[in-house]
Amino acid sequence: MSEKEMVVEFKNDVSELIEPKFRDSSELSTEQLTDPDYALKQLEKLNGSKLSITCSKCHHCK
Amino acid sequence: MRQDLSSYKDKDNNFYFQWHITNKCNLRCSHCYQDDYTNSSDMSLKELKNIADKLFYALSKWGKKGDISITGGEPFISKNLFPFLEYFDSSEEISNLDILSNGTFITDKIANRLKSFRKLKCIQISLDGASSETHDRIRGPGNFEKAIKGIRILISNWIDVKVMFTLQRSNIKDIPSLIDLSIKEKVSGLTIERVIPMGSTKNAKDSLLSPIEIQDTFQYISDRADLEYEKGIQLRILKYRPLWINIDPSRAKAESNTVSYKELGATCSIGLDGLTILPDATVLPCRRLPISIGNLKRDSLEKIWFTSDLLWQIRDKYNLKGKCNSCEFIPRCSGCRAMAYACTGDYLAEDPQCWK
Repeated sequence: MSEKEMVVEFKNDVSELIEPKFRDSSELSTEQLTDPDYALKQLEKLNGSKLSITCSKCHHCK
Repeated sequence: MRQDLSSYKDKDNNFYFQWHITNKCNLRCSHCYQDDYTNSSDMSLKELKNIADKLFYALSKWGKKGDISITGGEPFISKNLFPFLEYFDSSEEISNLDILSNGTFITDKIANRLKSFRKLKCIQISLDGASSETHDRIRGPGNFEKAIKGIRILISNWIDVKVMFTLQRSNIKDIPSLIDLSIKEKVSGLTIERVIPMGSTKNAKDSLLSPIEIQDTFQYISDRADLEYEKGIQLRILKYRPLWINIDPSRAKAESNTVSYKELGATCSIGLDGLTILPDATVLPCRRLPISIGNLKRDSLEKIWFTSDLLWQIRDKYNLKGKCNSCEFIPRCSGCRAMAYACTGDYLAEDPQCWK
């Protein structure tokens, strides 16, 4: 276990020190800006066919 | 018959929201991630519907349906709960609803009302021990009995119930009896989450278990689940979370659609297909990673999802540090980013409870 102390301060438990930061659209590809599943597809690409990728949203897994 | 292993490829492609409609709560659980227990930041029903409409707009544009977990605080305290459920129940953009609750307000009258929502699939009740001694030490006197009573009322009204257990030093010994209790009470699912040192527990790092303790506990749960599945129990012991795959890496290489006793481990879902919304419309990547990535009163869902710097940092798995960076199981683990942040201040750091 890391011994490093937590350095972040909170108000209502949400960090006040880190403001939401948005990337400029010029930094992102068309797919990144339009495909809501882009990250999932990248994960599948990274995986190849090595592992079966399971979903972690078990609250509502039917 | 149990369901097959749930894979992203086979899934319904829905987008998930965990929506905290109030911070107000009747309990003060020792491990709670909140600091604020008032309704001072709650939105009105009209404001909630306006935000929901923004989500519906984006979902429709994306060709997706929404799955929503409504929670708090304690959601049954909020006067907006039932009208908001009605709003979602009648929306074409929403597929499934559930409620995450401490179970202490459930009555036959409430259960009867819940049955009228056709999209409401289950109620998740938090149990942090298998006895009043353990549960009430964490959640306050008398609350074990109320939660069990709530579970029984829901099940007697044919409402599906799942149990959530937050694993910490003070309740680790209850796990065997918690599985027994879950089977006895006929709940359909049991999820075991690691406590994250934030909110009430941010300075209580002694509640955290060591990597070896986590390994031993996960191994017991996995072995017990295999044993119970062999017996044909209905309870699903849900292990779709980071670190679990390290219990038996060979299962990660099993063919998809294997039966559920092989279900083990899933990657952190941040940035993949879901978000958390707080009572004031602040958006978090996950409820346990308390960094705002926008606010739906001023930012569209599309702006947050497509341009949040934090989400893109976490989506790029090459950014992960330490042992997470070189781990072969990133697609089925990648460590808990909230745990990394809570323990080190860096959400890209390695998961400090990984035993590998």
